[in-house]
Amino acid sequence: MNNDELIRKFLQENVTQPDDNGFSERVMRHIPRYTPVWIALLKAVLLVAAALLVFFYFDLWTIICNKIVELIQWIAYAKHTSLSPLLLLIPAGLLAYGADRLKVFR
Amino acid sequence: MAALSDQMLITQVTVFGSRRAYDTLVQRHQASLRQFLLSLTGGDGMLSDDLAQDSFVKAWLQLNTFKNKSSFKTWLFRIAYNVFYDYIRSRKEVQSIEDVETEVNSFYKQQANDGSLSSDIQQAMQLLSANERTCITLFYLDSLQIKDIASVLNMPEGTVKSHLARGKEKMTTFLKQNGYE
Repeated sequence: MNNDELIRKFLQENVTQPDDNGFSERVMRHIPRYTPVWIALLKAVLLVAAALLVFFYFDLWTIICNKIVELIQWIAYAKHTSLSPLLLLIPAGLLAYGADRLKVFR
Repeated sequence: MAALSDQMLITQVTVFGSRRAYDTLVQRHQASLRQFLLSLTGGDGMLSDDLAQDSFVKAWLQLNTFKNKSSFKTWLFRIAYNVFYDYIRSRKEVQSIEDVETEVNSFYKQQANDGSLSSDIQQAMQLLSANERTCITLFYLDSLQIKDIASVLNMPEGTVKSHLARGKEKMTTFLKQNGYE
């Protein structure tokens, strides 16, 4: 008997594999719910479709464009009045935040 | 379902979320995984079962990251090995990888001396370092190939070969001295 066989035989004779004894059942009780990939994808697609539907149905694009125009007009007006230029930081901050969030989609 | 390959069962889990398919995988691999953890923990059955359960839960949660580059068994053993090392680290603040090795060794000796292993195997295993013991167990008991052991332990194949050679030499000497021939 060579050394490999000697060690293998010794280990196989002296080490016994544990019986299941309800172990698998215990494991299955502890595993959380699993969402398959296709369900997660389907959910995402449905959510995006619903969002697009709402967006176009209520013509949100025009509303957003109008709001941007109003904002620009307000900024232009603020330059000629006594309003603090520091107030410009608010829309600037909002725009910067929006631009930062857009990075997620790239 | 028992006749399906691991890969088929994994596909059923990831595509359909089949718990039944995962149950078959657990039943198929539980004995070897618990045995592997028993060899790491020095024969502490309760701790091994807790760690094995954690490993199966982690594997379930990470199953969509399984890339089929190795067998499911090798991948599962790697998770279990990491779970065991995390447990050791959580018991004691250890700084370096050498500290972890020392802690694993002293943990093993303490557990083995508590008495759930037969005396010969206990003596033989205590002669080995933690890495030698793990390599010997995976190679001779679980019949993993050297590249798979390297993947489980996250070390180069050359290092696994060195651990195996040293472990083999120590065990052979012990067995011959104790009349196993």
